[in-house]
Amino acid sequence: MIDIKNLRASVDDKEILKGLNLKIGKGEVHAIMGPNGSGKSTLSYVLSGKEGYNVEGEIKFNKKNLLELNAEERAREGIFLAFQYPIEIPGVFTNNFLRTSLNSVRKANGKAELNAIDFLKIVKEKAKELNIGEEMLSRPLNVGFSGGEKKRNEILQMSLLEPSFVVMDETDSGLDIDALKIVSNGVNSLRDPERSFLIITHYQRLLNYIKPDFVHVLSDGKIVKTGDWKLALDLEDEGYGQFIN
Amino acid sequence: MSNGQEFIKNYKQGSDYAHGFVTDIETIDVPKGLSKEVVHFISKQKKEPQWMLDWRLKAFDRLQSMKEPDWQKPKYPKINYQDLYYYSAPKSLTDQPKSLDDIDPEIRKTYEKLGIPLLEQKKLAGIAVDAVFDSVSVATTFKDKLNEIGVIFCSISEATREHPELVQKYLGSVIPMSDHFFATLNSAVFTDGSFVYIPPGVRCPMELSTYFRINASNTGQFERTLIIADKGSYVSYLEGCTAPMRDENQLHAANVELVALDDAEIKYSTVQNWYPGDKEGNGGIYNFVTKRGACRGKNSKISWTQVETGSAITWKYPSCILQGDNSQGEFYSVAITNNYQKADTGTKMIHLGKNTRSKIISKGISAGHADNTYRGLVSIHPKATGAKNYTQCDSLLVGNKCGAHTIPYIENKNSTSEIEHEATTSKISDDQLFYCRQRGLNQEEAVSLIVNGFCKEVLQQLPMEFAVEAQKLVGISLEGSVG
Amino acid sequence: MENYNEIKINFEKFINTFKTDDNDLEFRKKSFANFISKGFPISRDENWKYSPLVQDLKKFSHLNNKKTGINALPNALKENFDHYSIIFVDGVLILTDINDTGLVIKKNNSFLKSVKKAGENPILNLNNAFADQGYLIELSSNTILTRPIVIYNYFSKNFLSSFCSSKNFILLNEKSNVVVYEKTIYDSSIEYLITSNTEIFLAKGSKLKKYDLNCNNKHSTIFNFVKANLDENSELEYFTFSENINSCRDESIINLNGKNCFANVNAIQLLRNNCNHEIKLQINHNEEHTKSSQFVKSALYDSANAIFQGKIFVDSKAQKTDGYQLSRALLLSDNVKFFSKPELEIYADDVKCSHGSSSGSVDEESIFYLRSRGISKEDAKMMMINGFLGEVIEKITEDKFKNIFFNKLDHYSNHD
Repeated sequence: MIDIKNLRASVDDKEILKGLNLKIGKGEVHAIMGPNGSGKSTLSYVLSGKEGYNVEGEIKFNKKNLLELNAEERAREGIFLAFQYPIEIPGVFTNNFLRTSLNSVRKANGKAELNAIDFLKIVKEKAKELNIGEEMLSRPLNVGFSGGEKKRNEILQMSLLEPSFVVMDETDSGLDIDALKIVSNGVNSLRDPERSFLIITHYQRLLNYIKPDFVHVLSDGKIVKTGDWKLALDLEDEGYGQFIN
Repeated sequence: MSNGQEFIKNYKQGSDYAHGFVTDIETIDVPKGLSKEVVHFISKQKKEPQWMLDWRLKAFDRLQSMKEPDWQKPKYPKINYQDLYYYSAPKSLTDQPKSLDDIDPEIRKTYEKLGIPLLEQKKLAGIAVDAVFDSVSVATTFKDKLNEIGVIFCSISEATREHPELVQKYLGSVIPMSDHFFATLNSAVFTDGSFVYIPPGVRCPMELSTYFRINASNTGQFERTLIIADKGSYVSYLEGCTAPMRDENQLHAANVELVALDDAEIKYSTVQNWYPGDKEGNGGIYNFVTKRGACRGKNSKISWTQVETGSAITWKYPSCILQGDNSQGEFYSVAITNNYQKADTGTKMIHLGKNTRSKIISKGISAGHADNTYRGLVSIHPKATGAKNYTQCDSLLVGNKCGAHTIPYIENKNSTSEIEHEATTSKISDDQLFYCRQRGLNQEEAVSLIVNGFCKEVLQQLPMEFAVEAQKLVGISLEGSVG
Repeated sequence: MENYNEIKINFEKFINTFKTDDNDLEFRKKSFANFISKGFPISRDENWKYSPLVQDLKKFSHLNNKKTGINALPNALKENFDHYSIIFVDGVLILTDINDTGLVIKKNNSFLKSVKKAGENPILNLNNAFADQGYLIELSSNTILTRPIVIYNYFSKNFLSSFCSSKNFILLNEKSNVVVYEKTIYDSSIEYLITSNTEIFLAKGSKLKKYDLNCNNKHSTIFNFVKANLDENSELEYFTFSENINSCRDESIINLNGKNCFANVNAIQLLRNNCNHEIKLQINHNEEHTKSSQFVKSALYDSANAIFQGKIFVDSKAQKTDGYQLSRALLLSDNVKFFSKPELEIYADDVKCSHGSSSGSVDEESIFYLRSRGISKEDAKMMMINGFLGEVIEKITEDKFKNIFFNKLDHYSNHD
């Protein structure tokens, strides 16, 4: 489904991704682990189209090269980035934001936009499944949300937008066990043969709840090892030392 | 460090102004008043070249059509400029001393009282001192050592003779001669000050400093300082002042110009503790100073740090003109006013180049019947893309007979800039005081601790030697104001 | 200085025919004399330092305040909820006295002159000299009005005068409550000077909510002056929405004279083209335990200029004051300018006062977040700007008016 070829990314003349190659098939769940500074966040930003990076290479998705599309175009194609630190946007109400976002994506895909009533029905349902209180929906986006609430909001968006490729950037950072379970349940319930996941994480813990098909180690801007879920356990025991030059 | 320790010893003797003494010494006095003759006299005493005299006379002419500004908050009784002496120098210094042994012993005694160990060169531990005694430079220590690495540190008079090209190039280039009344007055009758030049790539190995002292009555101090940091150089300059007890107000209208070229950095620190007037508000120094730094070069940086605890009226705005791309300006200030002191101080950060940065941290403490105003300007020119400013002004009030004010002017003409300004006002809370006292500190110590905590961010910027002195000064300035 | 001969002549003409009592006549002549002695304000005057009026008032050497033919307020502009109306058309007050239980609305004929300090503000002097129209709203004690009062200021295409002044009074006696909504609509395309001077007195325990809408004025120069005196336990909630206003100074002085009174002042500046809008606000804490909050947000496009001067003054006896001020500006085009002077003048120590002012462009991180959810760059920016300004509208406590202003925001941000 997604084929990343020789991806290079640099910021201010400093190269962070140094020729990354990765293939992710439909319905697969891949995990990327790596020490700090290996380029994990950069990878997620470059995949989702954040400006400010010099990027070379190719990202084939749905017969298109993602690098030729901007951020919202990629979102409308079906790419979703679950942020490590979801942004607070005062004054922009969560409900309003969700509806605008969903309708933009629907419109781009030839679907009819939802009116307020229909949208509210859908979002309330999904919110209930994820244990997100309704009152959270009428607050400004992420403002005053706890770490766990912010992450749950990300999962809610994922469930509403129904993307085909999900990148999760250290979703588990700052979550306690209960929040972790809720997030993982949410993600697992969205697993689908037509949907792929790329989970970027520092710790192995999340992978106990979301079992990956493949695990890769990212070190110094490149993937240096690939294995199955057992690789994650090895890393837990031995650390990243063996991969750092 | 003997300087700091001397001061601390003096201050422990009580909160009365410890340096309240006068040196009885014959002084050459020019007749009173402001006239062309006086300007000529000053220039001749300094043995200045003709171009310098011409410059002074031009300023004198310009002065005739200028008026004192009146927009500042602290009002002062009208100054009769014809009633002041513009030059006063101890007789024994008419001819330049050949070595330190040539100095008048009375003057040397004065310096010892002030804690300036001119005679203890070895113990100075790296501070070269240019000690100004009333209008003439007495000695410049370490001059030779600095000369070896090409650093010029001398009196401004000497510079006009030995390094005319540099002086001519930069004097008046940061503070134009006719910028405002006091700047023009200074340009006509300045009598001395420091000249510093750091050559390209040199990091000045020691902190440079100057001590002032105003002695004879009715002598305005008109010092002129010019510091030039050439490409890639660094210098840290300290300025600390004391003055004796007097009944009449004394005027101090100095001009300080800083120029930083590409990749250069100038750090200018001031601890000012001039006679603030007695507990009833009589006497005290008027400190009307113009200080301006030009970040001419790319990546240049100028930072002003000041601890102002003295003077009856403090009126100064050390400023930075950020011309070079990526240049940075910083202003850290603690201004303490007690009894009947008044301060109207702050800074101006003028953003002209691209990607310039400025940071302003101002802490004002007001007690007794004092009045303390922060006045600042942050100006972003339409062409100054990517400019960033952060300003934090905090005021601490002690009692309800004093005033603390914040008047920031923010002029943003570029949409890619980011300006952030915050100001808060608070008091020394009873809870805080009780907590300290419950832990064994007495009232004075508690106040000192709390106030030092309030000013920490600024005091941290001072070079080590000054920091100790400053902390003590801060605590002492508020003695008797709480409780 | 400028040539004020024409203005002098017009004043003579006016004062000789204007019917009023001797005290008022005296006061007007004094105000006018004060105006003439100082003339229009100059930028070197600290109070007018950044004011757009300094430049724009130069156009008005010929202030002619004659009344042109009476037109009517178009029905389309009338609000469709139940309300009391006060209507100004082309500077003339069209009003039949209202005498309901607890409420009196009538023409301000006695022109109570409580602004005695003539000489300080030149435009106020001008207003005090010439103002011949105005309303008086008075609520008797314990009157809680459920019907809001709407003040319409309408300038029709037939307005040909160059100057109009009004002087108004709102008096709330003890424990009374009312909502006043004032909207100004400009259909006229000539240049004229409008000065309005409203004095508000809030007696113990009374509450006034005043909402002002000032939109789409491409030609005239406006000076709006509001002075409010708050007594113990009274509350003023004051919100202004200024959109695309050519040249204007909104000046307010709010005196907190009684314990526990509270002034909550909020404003939006949404400016395009060459608009030049100034807000000058001074809140004086004159008594203990008083509270104030100022919240101003500005969004600037094209070559617009916005000015905010907000001052919190705390008297030495006003201990336990709680004063807060926040101003934020979004600079959305290359040629916009924002000037801010948030001032604190504090003489009491047991107080909580703070202010903050920031300006810059829209946060890039937030835009990226919205785009990553499929929202286009332009829409994302618009969402952020509306959200930014919307935070001020959130402060409105009357839901009906909150909705009105959210709709206005929507309407004005989508139109050029």
